[in-house]
Formats: sequence, structure tokens, C-alpha cells
Amino acid sequence: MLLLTSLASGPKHGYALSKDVEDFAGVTLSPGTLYGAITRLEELGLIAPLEEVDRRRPYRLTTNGAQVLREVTNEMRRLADVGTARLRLATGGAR
Amino acid sequence: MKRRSDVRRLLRWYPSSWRARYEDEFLVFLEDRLEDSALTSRFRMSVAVAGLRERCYGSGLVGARSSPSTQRRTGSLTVLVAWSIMIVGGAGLVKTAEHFKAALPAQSRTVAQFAYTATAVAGVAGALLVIAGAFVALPGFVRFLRAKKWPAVRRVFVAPLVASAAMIVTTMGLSTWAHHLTTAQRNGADDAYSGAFVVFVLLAVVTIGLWTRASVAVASRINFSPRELRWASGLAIAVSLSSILVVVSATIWWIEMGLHAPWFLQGTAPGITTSAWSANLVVTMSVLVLGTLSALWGASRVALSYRPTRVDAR
Repeated sequence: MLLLTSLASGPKHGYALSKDVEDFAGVTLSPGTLYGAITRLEELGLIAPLEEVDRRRPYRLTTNGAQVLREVTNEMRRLADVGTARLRLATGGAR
Repeated sequence: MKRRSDVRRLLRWYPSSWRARYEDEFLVFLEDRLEDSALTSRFRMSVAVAGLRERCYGSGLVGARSSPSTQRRTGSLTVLVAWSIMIVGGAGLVKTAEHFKAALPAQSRTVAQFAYTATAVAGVAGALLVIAGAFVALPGFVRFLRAKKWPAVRRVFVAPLVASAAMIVTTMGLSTWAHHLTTAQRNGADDAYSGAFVVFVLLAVVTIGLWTRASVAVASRINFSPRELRWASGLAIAVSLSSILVVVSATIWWIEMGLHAPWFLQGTAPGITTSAWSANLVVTMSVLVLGTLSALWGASRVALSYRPTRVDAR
């Protein structure tokens, strides 16, 4: 999810991905975790490699990847809305 | 320059197929990430663990990424490795249980004797199943040789052959030495002989391990037919069942000996009240349990690979 979210703003290579994830999520991905995730996402066809630039290979979000990201974020938003509504209800009830 | 070669060496933890695809960009990423900072042991460990994880996924040992045939082959080979662990544990048990019947009162022998016989039968059955597995792999091995792929694995056989030669020499030397010793000296009173025996045991374990590694190296490169894989899968599951039987019956034997002749397990004089938790037996049983758990893991990988896929299930 973190990588798909990062790639939603445009193609990035490994190091740029890890920096971006660190900036927007505060999560430091270890090299093994990052490239393990890249391997998995590429196999699933959610991201695709682009031509190398200065020995660094950028990745882009595929149509499938964008679709999955959309579905997951919609689901998260729905859950967040339900949680917020229920919290409001509970706070109101306590008063 | 040295650090680049250090980083490149780290990538050996990854499987060659992964390296062929990602090595160059991963190296650049690691260099960017490290900048001028030192290559810490934590960093090395992180890359090593990730590499091993990738190997496990790639070989079909975990996850569902690999094809069912890869999972079957890896599952069967895991059972083979597990059986070599069982051989080590089994040898330990045979040594510990030597002459156990004489230590038991006549009226308490039945269960222990039955359990020990069941352990031996399950052990022999497992060994025969493994031999049957070797016969199943034989046509594939012949195809492998005909395809002139032998040079790719030839080097793996050097170490087990050398270890086997050392084993033969050590066995001959040790048995000649043993003939000149009394029973007490052979059973621990002679420190030099005991030390040589420990070396012999370690050499035996290393030899078994090296032969297993060589077998796995060859079997991993053979293209088995679906029929051969089906046979290997069935045998692997049967071997794992015999491993369970070995552990269960050996545990019953241990309990019986603990109840009726715990001094035998500790090697003390008969009749002395002592604990059944002998260090030798704890280690032996731990090895057997480890072997059985590994066999079960391999057998479960094999069994799960026959699950119908979602498309098939529809």
C-alpha cells in the first residue's frame, strides 16, 4: 500500500520510493523489505519497471495497481467514516 | 571500492534468479542508502534475512508464489532433509538404548520393548521409503546425465566423497582401537577414546549433511515428470508419517524407562533414584522432534500443492 501510494504521484526508483514513504508515512523501509515488496508488486502486475536512468530503475503504477489502490483507499475511507461516526455517537451518548 | 564488493557479497543471500533481475538496481539502491555511513551488522543482517526469505519464496518452501510442481519438489526435498536429521537422532537413540532390556524388571519390559520395536520398525520403514524415493528419482537423474548437466553439480560431490573416505578410515581406526579396550573404557572411562568417538560422531553428522546437500543440489535441477512428482509426493507424506511414529514410540519408550529404570538413562548404578531427564536423551529427542517437524512442513507443502485452485473449484 505504501509503495502504491508513493507511485500514485509518479514513477520513482528504489531510493526515491523509500525517501517518499519515509516523508509521508514516517516509515523507514529496510532495503530487504522494500525490494521484497517491489518484487511482489511487480509479480502481481501492480507496478511495472521503466527504462533505467543513471543505473537506477524507476517503477510506475500500472492500471491494475491504480485500481487496487483506489479500492483499498475507498474501503479505508469507508471504515474511517464508520469509525468517526460511531465515535461521535458514543461521545454524544456519554454527554 | 571495497565497500561495493562488500555490498555485492551481501547479495549472495539472494537466489540467482532474483539477482539476475534486481542485482544492479538493488546495488545502486544500497549505495544510495548507505551514502558514506558504515555497513553495520544490522544492515547486513537485514539484507541477509530478506535474501533468505526470497530464497524460501522462490524455492516454494513458503508462500504460494511458486508453481505446484516446484512446491511438490521442494516439499519432498524438505522431507529428505528432515529424514537425514532423523537418522542422526535415531543413531543417538540406538546408542542410548543399547542393552536397555537388561535394565528393566521382567514384568515391566512389555511396553518399553513394544515401543522400542515400533520405533525401529518405523525407522526402517522410513528408510525404505526414502530408498524408494531415490528409485523414483532415478529416471530423472538419467535424463539429467544424458542432458550433460553433470558438470554443474560435480563439485558438490567432492566434499561428501572426502568426508566418506575420512569416515571409513576413522571407523576402521576406532574399531581397531576399541578391540584393545575393556567395556568400561569403551563407555567413557578412557578420555582419549571418548574424544575420538565424539569426533567420529561429528564426522558422521557432517557426512550425512554433505550427502543430503549433494542430493538436494541434483534433485533441484532435475525436471521430474508429473507422475514422478506424484510418487515422490506420496512417499514424502509417508516418510513424514513414519517420522511421527518414531517420535511417538520413542517418547513412550522414554516414559517407560523413566518409570522403571531411570538410572539406565543417566548411566548410574542400578536402583539409584534419579531423573529420567538425561541430557543425551533430551538432545536426541529434540533432534528427532526437529526432524519430524521439518518432515511435516515438507509434507504439508506437498499436500497443499494438490489443493484445487480457485478456478478449478468453480
